[in-house]
Amino acid sequence: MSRPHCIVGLEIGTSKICTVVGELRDDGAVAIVGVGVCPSRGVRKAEIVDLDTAEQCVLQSAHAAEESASTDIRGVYAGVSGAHVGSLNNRGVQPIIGEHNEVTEADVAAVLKHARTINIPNQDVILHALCRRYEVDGQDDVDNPVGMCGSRLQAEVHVIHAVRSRTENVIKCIRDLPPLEVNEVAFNGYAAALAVLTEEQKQLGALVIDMGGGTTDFVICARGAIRHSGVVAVGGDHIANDISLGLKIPLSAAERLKVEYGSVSLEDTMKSQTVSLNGEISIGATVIFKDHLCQIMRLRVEETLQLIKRELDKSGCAQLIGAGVFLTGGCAHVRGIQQLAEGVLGLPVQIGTAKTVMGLTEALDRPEYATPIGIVRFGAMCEEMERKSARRAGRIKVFFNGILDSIRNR
Amino acid sequence: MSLRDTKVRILVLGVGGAGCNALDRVAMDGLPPTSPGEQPETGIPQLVAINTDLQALSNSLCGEKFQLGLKTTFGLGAGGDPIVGRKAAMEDRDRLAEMLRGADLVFVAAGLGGGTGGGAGPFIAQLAREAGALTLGFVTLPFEFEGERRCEQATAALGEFKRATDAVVCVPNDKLFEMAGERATVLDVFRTADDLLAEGVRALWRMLTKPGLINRDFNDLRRALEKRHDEIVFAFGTGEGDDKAMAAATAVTSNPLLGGGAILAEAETVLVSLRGGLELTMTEVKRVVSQVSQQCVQKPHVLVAASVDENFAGKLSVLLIASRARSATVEAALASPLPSDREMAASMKDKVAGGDAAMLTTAGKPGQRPEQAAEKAVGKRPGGDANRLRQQRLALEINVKGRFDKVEPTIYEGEDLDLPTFLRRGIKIG
Repeated sequence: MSRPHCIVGLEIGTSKICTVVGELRDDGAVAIVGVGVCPSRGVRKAEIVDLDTAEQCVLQSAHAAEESASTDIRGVYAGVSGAHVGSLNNRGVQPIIGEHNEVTEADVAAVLKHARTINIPNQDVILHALCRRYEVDGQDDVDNPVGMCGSRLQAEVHVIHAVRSRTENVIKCIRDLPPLEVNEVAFNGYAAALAVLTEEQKQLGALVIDMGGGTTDFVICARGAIRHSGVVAVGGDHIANDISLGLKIPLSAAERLKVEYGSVSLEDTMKSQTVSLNGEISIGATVIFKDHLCQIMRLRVEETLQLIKRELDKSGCAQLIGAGVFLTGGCAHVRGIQQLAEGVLGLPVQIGTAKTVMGLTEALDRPEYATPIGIVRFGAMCEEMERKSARRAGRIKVFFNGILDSIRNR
Repeated sequence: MSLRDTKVRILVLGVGGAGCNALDRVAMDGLPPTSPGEQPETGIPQLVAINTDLQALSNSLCGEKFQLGLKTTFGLGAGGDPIVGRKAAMEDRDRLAEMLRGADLVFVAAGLGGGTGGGAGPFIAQLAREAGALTLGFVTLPFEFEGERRCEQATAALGEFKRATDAVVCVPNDKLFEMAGERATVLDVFRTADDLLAEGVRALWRMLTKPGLINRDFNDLRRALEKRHDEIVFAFGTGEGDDKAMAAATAVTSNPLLGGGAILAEAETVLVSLRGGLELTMTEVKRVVSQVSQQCVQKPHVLVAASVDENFAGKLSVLLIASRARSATVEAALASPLPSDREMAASMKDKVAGGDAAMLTTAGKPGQRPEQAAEKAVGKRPGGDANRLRQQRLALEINVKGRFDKVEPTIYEGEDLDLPTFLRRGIKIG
């Protein structure tokens, strides 16, 4: 293969459907080589409500990405979000019964399996089960327990689950368009965190808020692992909807006002500043006071951030956020959101951009591309894991024998 | 009170079709293994099949049968409607109370989702508790494919069961399916559930009545389970041969009903009951118990019982009963008080008086939203049955949702976030 292996991330968002093509370099690094975007239709609050229309948009976005990266797209990694996504922490316990009470890879696999076995509702499916930490006989924070001695292995995992049928809708929406195929699905919030956070920031602790068109996804990372995640099904669409209802103007005009004049800081707007809407409404021009617009927006954004703050407090990790808050998604462009978020959350806030990959800077620098780029990164991780396990299948025997022999010879 | 010196009544009740089937399994395998003519020991469980369906009841292998609600259902069954099931039980309230008088330990086995098990079951369980018995429910939840309505009914009935009993063992049929494996026949799957109940009853009976190395009496059991109003989990394992302790411990801890260790990890009380041959050693007991408690994280209260049985030479069986620390949902359920008898009777009467309309509310056409069904019911019948209606949103508010009018609302702690924030907070714009 002359070209490096391509990994494609596809996010079916509420406001845009975005396809990002990344190349997996030999050294394991990911470089973004192409992006295709199509305004989204048929999606509400990150869930597909009109499959046919959404499929059209997926197709357009994929074509655009193929052109941009000049490659053919086959298998993609897809992002999932929506109010149906939930998470919980669980732990699994495995007694170590082996001859020398030594933890084997099989024990680790078993303990992770136990930890995954949780009572999620029947209609739900597990998207991710991310290991938070291991514990061997009460010894905390073991990174890799294989080979350690003990009688009890315990693993704590963070499980992200979603409703099966809605996840399947996303997959169907892509599979209906051959030759596109879905390799794996990822939770959008997790993907955004993958794109934005460096290893060091994960260790320090960070909160990633991905505020998109239909939903606000969040992920709380502390001590290198994900502690809490979730979705609040409120996003940019709600802001526009509030403006439309509050100022009694059509939705399209509200959307335009939001982008062109909107802000969530009240200081930089003069009391009497006005905007006139021409041609949108039949008779004459409508004059809108800018402070009304900003007040409506501020109330909505502030409330959404307060909900995230509540989730942060619930997770018990509020004191563990050393690296601060990272805002991604389209709403990160809202003027003044950084200051507002700092006020609400009481933490330093920055706009999150994809730091963990290389490639097209015009894509990397934009917070709304963090999620699809993160999905590419997720895809790279999946393929890395697959390769490792394939390699291990051949190696495992040697590995075990080695350990056993060294003990016997003592 | 110890079971060995006082006469103690253990009642095993099978309510409804599924409950009676489970009971048949208990009866078939013999409990306890008595030979005819043998003097009945103390604490021999009394098995009673209770059903509204006369035909099903006549097929039951149980010695004692109880026809429920002859006037209500004419012996034709409850037709999958819990209200009918409950009404049938209310009709025979006095007879049931008579039967339950003086009982010390009552098992109520039922399949939820249907009429008799889901409707009459909790009612009978409550009567049993009122009679002063430690009451344990053993219920199965319907298969997912049996439809949403049945599942909803089952969930509601499970809640009632939790409130009515001291503790409930709940086995979702889907999980049984997992246990029995892909190729299992229908018979196999149901047999798994029936076996579980039978083994549970038998093991508890043994624990309470047979002389043991480590005795546990009724009060220990009572302390472990009384007034928990939550789900408990039963699991079994047996081992044979030289290393039977380890084999039994592994079998019991890997039982799928323990959810791969999750249940034990969260357990608050664990009751480990062993039964072995005369050669059962203390070391073996210790091995099993330490294996089990190793999986526990919350440092639970562990109760150990061991009994010997000469017919059990070379074998070791372990019964594990784990009860979890109370979850928030249970607390919430308990916070809403159980309707008192009078209220219940009154609401039942309403339902009966409501006749067709009440039926309509529960039966609602498939695909019809419950609210719509409820609305119709109200339209047809003024007054009464108000507790079955859900509070509805004022129609006015719908217009205020703009583009989110027709999509699923975003509800966060009871607040509809689709409504503009300024409206909800009452802030005037402009």
